[in-house]
Amino acid sequence: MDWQAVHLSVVLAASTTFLLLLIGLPIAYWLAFTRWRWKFLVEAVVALPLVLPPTVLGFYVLVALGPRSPVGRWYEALTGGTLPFSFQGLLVASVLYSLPFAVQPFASALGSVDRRLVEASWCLGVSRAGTFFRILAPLALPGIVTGMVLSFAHTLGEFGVVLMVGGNLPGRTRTVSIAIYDEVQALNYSAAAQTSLFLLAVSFAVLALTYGLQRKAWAPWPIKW
Amino acid sequence: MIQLEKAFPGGPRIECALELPAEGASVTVLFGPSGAGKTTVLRCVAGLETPDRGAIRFGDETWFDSARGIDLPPQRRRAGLLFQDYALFPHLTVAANVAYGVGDLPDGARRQRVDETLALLRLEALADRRPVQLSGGEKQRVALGRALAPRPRVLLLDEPLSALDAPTRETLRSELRRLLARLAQPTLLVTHDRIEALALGDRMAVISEGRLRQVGPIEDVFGRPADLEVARAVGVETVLSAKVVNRREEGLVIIDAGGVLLTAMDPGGIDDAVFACIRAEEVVLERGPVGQVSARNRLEGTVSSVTPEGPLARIVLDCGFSLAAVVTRQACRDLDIKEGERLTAFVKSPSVHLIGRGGP
Repeated sequence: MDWQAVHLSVVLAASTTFLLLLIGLPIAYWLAFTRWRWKFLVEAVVALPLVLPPTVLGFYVLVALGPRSPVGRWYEALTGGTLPFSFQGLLVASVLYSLPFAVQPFASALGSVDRRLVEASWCLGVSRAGTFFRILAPLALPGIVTGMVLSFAHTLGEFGVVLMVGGNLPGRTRTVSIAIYDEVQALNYSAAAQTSLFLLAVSFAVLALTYGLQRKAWAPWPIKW
Repeated sequence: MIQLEKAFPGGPRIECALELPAEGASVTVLFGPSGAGKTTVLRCVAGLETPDRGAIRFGDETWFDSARGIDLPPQRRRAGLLFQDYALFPHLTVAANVAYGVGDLPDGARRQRVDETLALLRLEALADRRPVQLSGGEKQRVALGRALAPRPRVLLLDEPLSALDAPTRETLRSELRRLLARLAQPTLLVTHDRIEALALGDRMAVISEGRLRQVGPIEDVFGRPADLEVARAVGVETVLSAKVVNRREEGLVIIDAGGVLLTAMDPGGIDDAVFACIRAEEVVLERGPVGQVSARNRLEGTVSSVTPEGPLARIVLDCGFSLAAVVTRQACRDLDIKEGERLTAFVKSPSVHLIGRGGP
C-alpha cells in the first residue's frame, strides 16, 4: 500500500475540513438567517459541485489559479510559488469541491435551532457572535459534526479534481484515489485491492459514525422537547 | 412611549400609539383577538422587529425613531421579554439559564444575582435541572427569572399563561399577579384571554385588526367599551342593534331592540341608532313568581342553550333577541336551568351600555 499517498490524503482531508469549518460556518449562518430574496442563487452556487463533473470544476479551478490569472499572479507575488500542481492548489480545489458537503448540513442544523432561542439571547444583551457560540453552535453541534465528517470523507475520495488541478506528483499531490488508479494502470491489482479496501473501510467507518451521531438517543441533550 | 406602524406584505397593517407609565408597578395589558398584531407590537418594542414608521421611546432614551434613523438593537434595549412558550435554552441548566443575561457582572455579583433571582422565584431546588425536566409552571418561572436577572427596566410578557394547561394556569395566574405587584416594574403584557387581562392588568389597551381601539383603566375598558370593536374584543357577550325611542330627562333613555324595550343610561352625544351592550356577568336570572325588583329591565324568555365554562355556566336566553348570561354552576343547579325552560332575566339600566352607531 502506498502509505505516502494515504498520509497525503489524510492531511489534505483534515486541512480541507478545517478550512471548511472556517469558511462554511459563516456562509451557512448567512444562508440560515438571511431574508434576502436572491438567497437561492447563493444556495445554487454552493450546491454546484454536487452536480458538476469534477473535470469541469477542476478545469475552472486550474484556469483560475494559473499563473496568468489575477489569483495566480497574486499568489506568486506573495509566496513565489504557483498554485497548480501543488498541495496548496489542491487544497483550494478540495475546499471548493467539498463546499456543499459542509455548508448544507451546517445551514440546516443552524436553521433548525429555534429562532426564539436566538432572539431570547439577543434580548438578554448577548451579541450576535456570543449568541452563535453559546446557543447556536452547541445546539447545532450534531449537524456541524456531520458536515465536517462528510467533508473529510468526500475529500478523501476525490479523484477528478485532484487529477485536473494537482496532477500526480508523489508526496505532493498524489492522493489515495490516484494511487489506486496508477496501480490498476500498471496491472498491479493486489496493491490496488489493498488500498481500495482501506478506503472502503475508512469511508464506511466515517459514515457509520456520522449516522450514529445523529441518533437522538445518543445526543448529549434533547434538541426538541 | 410607543408609537409605531408596521405593514406586512399580504397581511394586516398594524398601527399602535401607546404610552406606558415608565416607572412604578403598573401592568398594561395589550388585549386583542389572535392575529390582531399584539405580539408584533411587543416584538417591535423588544427590537426584534423593525416598524415601518414611528418611534419608540423609553423615558428620555430613544429606542427607535424612523424619522431620525435610530434603531437600537435588542442587546442595547434590554427589555425583559418573556416568550409565549418560554424559549428556555435546552442545553443549559436552570441556573445557567438565569445567569445567561448577567455575564457582564463580576463573578461574585453574578452569583449573588443568580441566587437572589432563584430565591425570588422559588427555584433553588431546581437549579441543576435542565428545561426538559421541568413542568410548564416551573418553565415559566425559569423564563421569568432569566428575563428578570439582568434587571430590565421594562418587562414584556407575551401570553405568559397560554402555554400552560388549565388547572396550572389558574394557580399561576394569581401567583404571577402577586409577583408582578412585588416587582413594581412597568410591564406590558399581551393576551387574548379576558380573564387573564382582568386578573393581571391595571390598564388595558385593546387592539383589533391592527388598530389600537381603546386605552384606559381596566374596569373602564371592560365596563364601557369605546366602540363595537372593543366591545366584541373584550367580550361583552350581548351586542344589540337598537334605536332610541324616548329620551328622558333623568339621563335615561328607552331603546327599542328588535321590538323589546330596554331602559339604559344615556351616555350623552349619541344618535338614535345605537348598539346596546349587555355584559353577561351583569344579567340576573330568576325563576317563578317575581316580587318587586329594582332592575328596570325585565325580560321573559326561553333558555336556548346552557354551556358550562369552568365554575360558571353561560346561558343564552331567547327573549326577542339572544341574551347571554353567566351564572355560577351552583346557581344553575339551584334554579334547575335547562334548555326550553322559561325564565325571567333582569338587567339594571346602567348595565345596558350604549354605543352610538350613527355619526357623520
